[in-house]
Amino acid sequence: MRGSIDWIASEILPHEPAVRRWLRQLVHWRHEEDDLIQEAYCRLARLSDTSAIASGRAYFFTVIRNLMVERIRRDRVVRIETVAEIDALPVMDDGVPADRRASAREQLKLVQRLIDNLPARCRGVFLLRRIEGLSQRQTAERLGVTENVVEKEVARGLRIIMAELAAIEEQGERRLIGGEGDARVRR
Amino acid sequence: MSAAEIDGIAADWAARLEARELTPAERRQLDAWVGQDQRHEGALVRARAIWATLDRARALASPVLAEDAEHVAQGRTRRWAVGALASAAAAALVAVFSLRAPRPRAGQRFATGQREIRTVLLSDGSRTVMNAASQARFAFDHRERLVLLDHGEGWFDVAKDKARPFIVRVGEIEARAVGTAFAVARTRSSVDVTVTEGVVEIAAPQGTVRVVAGGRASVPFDGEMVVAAVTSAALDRDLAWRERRIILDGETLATAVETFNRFNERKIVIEDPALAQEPVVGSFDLFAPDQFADAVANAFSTPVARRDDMIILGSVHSRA
Repeated sequence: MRGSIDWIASEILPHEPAVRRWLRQLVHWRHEEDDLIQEAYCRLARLSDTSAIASGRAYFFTVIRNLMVERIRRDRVVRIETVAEIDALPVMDDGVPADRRASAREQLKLVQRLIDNLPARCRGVFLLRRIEGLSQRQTAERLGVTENVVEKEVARGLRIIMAELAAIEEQGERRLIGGEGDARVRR
Repeated sequence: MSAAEIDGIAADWAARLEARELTPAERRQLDAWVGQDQRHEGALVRARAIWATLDRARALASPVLAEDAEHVAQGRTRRWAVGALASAAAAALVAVFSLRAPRPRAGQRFATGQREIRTVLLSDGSRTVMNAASQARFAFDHRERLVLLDHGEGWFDVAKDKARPFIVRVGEIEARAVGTAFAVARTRSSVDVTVTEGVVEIAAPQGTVRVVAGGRASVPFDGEMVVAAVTSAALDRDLAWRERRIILDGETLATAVETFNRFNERKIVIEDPALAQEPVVGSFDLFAPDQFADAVANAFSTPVARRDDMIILGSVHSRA
């Protein structure tokens, strides 16, 4: 499972805001946004081999779309407009080189912001565990609390970050997809 | 159960899974919960992926902060450094890991050794990845952000600042940008500028040229400038060192091993001359020769032996 988690962390998670934004545009599906996202992560985690997937972003959209199709099949009454909506998949493989899609600096900024917004004690725990790389026990010793407290803070922080990530309005999309051409160079 | 409630339970399990081994009873409990609903499994996977993402900040942040701890205090305060933490220990931690990168001053120097690739976070929010055996000096002021590349290669991911162009200078040759990403390599005979994002203006005694993303300008110290398009596959390959990776696309095993050996103390030796000529394809961690050797052994069904500081590929008879 570790391998697939790492793959999801690097190839899928960064595109969640884009997928959510698309879902919110679909009037007949937007109320199922959270359910669809959770189910999609389940499907993605069950992939036995991800090496053939060229674009995690495109694959993420496809998985969501398949889940929608399954739901439509399950429902006895099919509403035309529901089907029409999912036919309008956004441009999936944007052909943008990986380092333009989500540069490491943007990812770093996002991570920074997410950790920054945590309550103080929670943030301390996250910094020690994730940035300094201490174990749960070492973190507990450093902060002078029990391991149980550390675990609770990790869970609390994760909950907050999970909610924040779901609420993010996608940023920098314009920059990621289209260049700004010569405007960037002065002189 | 609402999605938020599911997320809450998933976060609890993720925190526990990252902390320690589950007891058999907990394991059964988790399996039961995950088995109930695909959304449960999905939420758990998402929580764990988020956790996995958070340590990325360490990979990006640590080198320069560790290297230039004494400059930290002079940097501008950044958002996540603000706010007091509960304990003194955590507060001290923030001082070091606050991503307040050093503010480069005239000639602030960064150099990498033969076997290291470093990430340097700069005070303006830009980021530089320095290839092995490289040296650069950073001189930022209110007018410009100047980098003097003394030797080697760097990739520059430039934070946008219209008022202060970001300039990489090698001798008389300059590459300038406002907010973009590009690599500059100083070779024996030329300066090569590869643009991965945006537009870079290159000024040399031969003239001035603009290179857009996906292009490369080769400026020889003696001769005409050449600008050519680079395929995105070639670009990824040439700049794979930024990620501390090597991307092989049909090079011989011998060539690949040569690269690994250049970056690692632990050497790979190929015993079988026919094996050395086999083409290799894949993306590998440049600093994990053992992993690479195992992958090769696996792909070519060839034995691998380890001795002292050597990894021996294709050895029918162990050297030991």
